[in-house]
Amino acid sequence: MYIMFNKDGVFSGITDKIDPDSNCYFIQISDEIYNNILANLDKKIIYEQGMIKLYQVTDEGETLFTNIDVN
Amino acid sequence: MAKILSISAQERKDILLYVIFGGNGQKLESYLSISPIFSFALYHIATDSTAMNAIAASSTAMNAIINSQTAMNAIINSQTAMNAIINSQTAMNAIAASSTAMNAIINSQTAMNAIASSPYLLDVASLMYSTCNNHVNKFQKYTVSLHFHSSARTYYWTSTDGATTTQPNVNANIVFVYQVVDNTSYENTVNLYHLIAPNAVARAVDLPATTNSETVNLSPYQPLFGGLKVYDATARGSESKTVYFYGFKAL
Repeated sequence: MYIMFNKDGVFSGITDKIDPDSNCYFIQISDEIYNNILANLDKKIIYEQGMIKLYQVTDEGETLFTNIDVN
Repeated sequence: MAKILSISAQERKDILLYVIFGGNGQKLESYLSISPIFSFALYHIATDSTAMNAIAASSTAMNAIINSQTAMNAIINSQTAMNAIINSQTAMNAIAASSTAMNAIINSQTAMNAIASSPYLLDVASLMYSTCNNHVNKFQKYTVSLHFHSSARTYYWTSTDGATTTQPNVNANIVFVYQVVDNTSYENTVNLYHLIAPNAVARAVDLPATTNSETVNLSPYQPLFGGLKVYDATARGSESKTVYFYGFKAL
């Protein structure tokens, strides 16, 4: 499976194939990471400095929930 | 061949109608490949509202059309034919159940526009989702969540550009929104748009005010063509709203 980010590193989906016509970046992920991302679609997900960063959005603002190293 | 040329235009049209109502798409395709004169007869059928209304009302005839690539291409490029299809629940069901038909329609912006305006769209939405979801050879699937808020009220998604605040070009995409969540404690409305018609609200989702976040599940999943535009119509509260959906790119 692949996680997909737009040119600004904003989460743009999980998919099973690389689309060569897409302007997005595709990062291959393990089943474990796939399930982790799928369970956390309510989080703000961005790609930054080689890491997938998940932020919890609450009434108090955004707090880092977890980092996933995909290097 | 000389014998075929000797028959009248009306006779050629009648022969094709006979084949169409016989329900055999392969036979129809073979007739259309014999000679341009049958393609011309097909054009006359596709632009004849009486004939097309009769075809659209028959699942047998619709399946013959769907199983002939030449016929399907003629139909999706005819406004008369598409008008007949979108106003027939039988035809809409036949289209929604066929991955070949769905793929052809989503690859045509004109056809997407027509199908998006069908009064039966929500009736066949679940079937459309199943068809796209079950045919990996015709559709690539994406599972997506889009976060947006009062200071970035509009978000778009296509398989080509991903999530973006800039309006992208229409793609050969269909999107099924299944849930909208509001993380503020305010009452809000989130508007959903087909990307092929980004100025006309396709569905307004009202999120009630509570002390906790509000979740609205959409049933049936809201199908949106060309890609997705979401808009925070009320923009109350500073925290994000989230739209969850499945996206499909027609391969």
